[in-house]
Amino acid sequence: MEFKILNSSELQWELNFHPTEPWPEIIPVIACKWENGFKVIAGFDRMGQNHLPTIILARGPWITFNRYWQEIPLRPIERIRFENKVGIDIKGQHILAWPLEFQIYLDGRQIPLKNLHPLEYLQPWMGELVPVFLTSSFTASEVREIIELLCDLKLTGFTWEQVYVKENWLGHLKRIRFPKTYQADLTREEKVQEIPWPRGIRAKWERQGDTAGISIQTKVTTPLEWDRLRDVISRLEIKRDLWDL
Amino acid sequence: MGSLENQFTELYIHDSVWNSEVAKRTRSLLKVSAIRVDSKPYADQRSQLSGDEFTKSKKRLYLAPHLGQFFRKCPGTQGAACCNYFVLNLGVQCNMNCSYCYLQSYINSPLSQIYTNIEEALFELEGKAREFPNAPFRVGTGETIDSLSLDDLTLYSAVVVRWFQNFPKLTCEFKTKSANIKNFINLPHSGNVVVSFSVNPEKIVEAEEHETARLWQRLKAARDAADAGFPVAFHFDPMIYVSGWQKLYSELVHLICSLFEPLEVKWISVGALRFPPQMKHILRERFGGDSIGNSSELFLGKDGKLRYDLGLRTKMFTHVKDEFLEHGKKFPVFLCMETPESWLGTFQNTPRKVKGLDELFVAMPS
Repeated sequence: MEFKILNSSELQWELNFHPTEPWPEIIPVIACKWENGFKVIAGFDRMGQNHLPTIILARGPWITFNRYWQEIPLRPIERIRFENKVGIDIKGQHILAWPLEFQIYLDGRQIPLKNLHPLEYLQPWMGELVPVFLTSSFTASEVREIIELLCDLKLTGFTWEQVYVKENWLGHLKRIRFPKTYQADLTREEKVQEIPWPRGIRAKWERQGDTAGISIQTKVTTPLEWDRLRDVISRLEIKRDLWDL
Repeated sequence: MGSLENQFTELYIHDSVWNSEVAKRTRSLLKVSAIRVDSKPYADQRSQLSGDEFTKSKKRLYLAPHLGQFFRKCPGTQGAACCNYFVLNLGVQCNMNCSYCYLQSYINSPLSQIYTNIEEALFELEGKAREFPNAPFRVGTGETIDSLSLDDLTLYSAVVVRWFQNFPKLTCEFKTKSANIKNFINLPHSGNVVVSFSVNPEKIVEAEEHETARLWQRLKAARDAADAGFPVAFHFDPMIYVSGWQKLYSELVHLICSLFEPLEVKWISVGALRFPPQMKHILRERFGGDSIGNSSELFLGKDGKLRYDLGLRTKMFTHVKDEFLEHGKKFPVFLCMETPESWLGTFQNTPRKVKGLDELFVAMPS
C-alpha cells in the first residue's frame, strides 16, 4: 500500500458508477495500481479535483472494486450501475439509459425495480418526462402509478400531448386510462351529491381498488344526535341503480 | 392447434427414465431428437421469467420424475370463498398460449416438464384416500399443465380413468382447452372422472386463446364425452369484458343449454379476468400494446390481483347465471376465486347457503 497526493488527471476514473452517498471527507481516494496508472475504486465524487490524497493498493482493481462495493448496501438503481461496471448480466439495465439525475430521483423515492419495468417502453418520452418529474413533488406511490399508467397509454397509441396536463396530472391519466370506470364513478358521485344528506354528513362516491361505494363521514357528539341521525338516515331513499354501472 | 410433432424444438429426457413408456412414446411422436441428460438442463430462475424466456420455455420439453409433492390443496386466493378443490400436478407449463394465462406469473422454470412418475402421484393420492375414506375429494390435474393437450405423449388420461374406478368416492377433473378425449373416451369408467372445458365466446377464443381448440371443437368433445357417460363441466373463466359481451356470453350459454342437460353437467364455474400486477410486464413483452393488461380496466383487489371493478364483475356473473335460469335448466353454477361480496351480489347469498352448491363448499381435510 502506498500513499500519494495526485491530481485527478493522473487517476483513471472509468469504474465511476456514481454512488449516491458522498465518499467520507476524511478518507482518501482509494485506487489500485494497474498497468502504468492508478484505477480509482472509491472516492469517485472527487473526480476533477487536484491534490487528492490517495491510497494506492497493490491489488487487481476489478476484484477489489467488486469485493468492496458488494458489501455496501446500495439503492436499487445504484446497484445496477455498479453491477454494470463489473459486467454482471442483470435485468433492468434499460434504466441506465435514463439520465443519472432521474435515476437518483427514483432511488431517492425507494421505488422498487419491479415498478420501473415500464420505463423500458417510455424511453421515447424521456425528454418530456424527466423535467416534469424533477420539477414536481410527487410521492413514491404517485410516481409508481404515473409510470404504470403512462406505459399503458403509450403502448395503446396515446401521444405525449394527449397524456400530459399541468394540473392534476394523475387524475387526467386515470381518466384517459380507465374511461368507462372513471365516467361511471363520476356519474355516481353526482348522484350521491343529489341525495339530501342530513346536516353534518359528508358523503362521496369513493373508489378503492376494484371496489367503489358511498363513503360517509360524520361526527356524533351526543346520544340524542345519534338517535336523530339514525332516524334521518333510515328515511333516506337511495335508488338501487346508483350501484349499477 | 398446431400438430404435436412440431410443438417442441428441444427435448430432454432424464437418464433414469430414458426407457420409460412415456419417454419412448414421446421420442417416437416428436420430430426433434431427444437429448439424454442426468440433470435439469436449464436451472430454475430466482425470479419471474422474462417474456422471451417464457415463450422459449413452451418449446423445450423435459421428461423427468417429480421429486416433490403431487397432491395438494388448490391455493385459491386470499379472501375468496374456497370450493375445496385439490390438485394433482403431473407437469408444469402449457403447450397452448392464452394471453391471460396465470402461469406467466407463476413459472420460473425455463422449460416445460412432464413428470414421468404418475404411479407415485397416484400412490400419494391413494394414501390420502385411505387416510380419509369418507372424504369426497375433488382432484384436478389441470392446474399447472393442461390435463389433456399433451395426452398423446403421456396417455395419462387412460391411467387416471382406470385408477379412479377403484375409488368411486373421489372425483377427478380433467380440465382442458383442447378437444383431446380420444385416449380415454372408450374406456370403462365409474362416472367419477369429470371432463371439463374452459370456454369463452369464439371471438375471445380467437383473440386471446392462441393455439387452443376452437370453441366448437371443445363443445363437440364435451358432447362426445357426455355420450360416453362421462360427466362434463364448463369453466366460464376468465370471462372477459369486450364490447357486446352480454350477447356473446348469452350465445355461449344458449349453445351449452342446447347441447347438454343439467344432469350431464357436474358444475359450471364462472370467474373474471384476474392476474397479479407483476404479470403486466410479461404481458407487455409478449403481446405489446394489444396485451389484455393494457386494454382492460383493471384495479387492484384485496387479494393483490388486478381485477375488473366489483360491480362489473357481479354484473357479468349475474348475466351468465340468469341466462342459464332463462333456459329453464338448473345447471350448478358457482363462482371461482371470488369474494363474499361477489357471491352476495350474484347469488344474494354465501356459497354454503346456495342450494346445490353447499356440498362443494364444505370444508375438507387437507
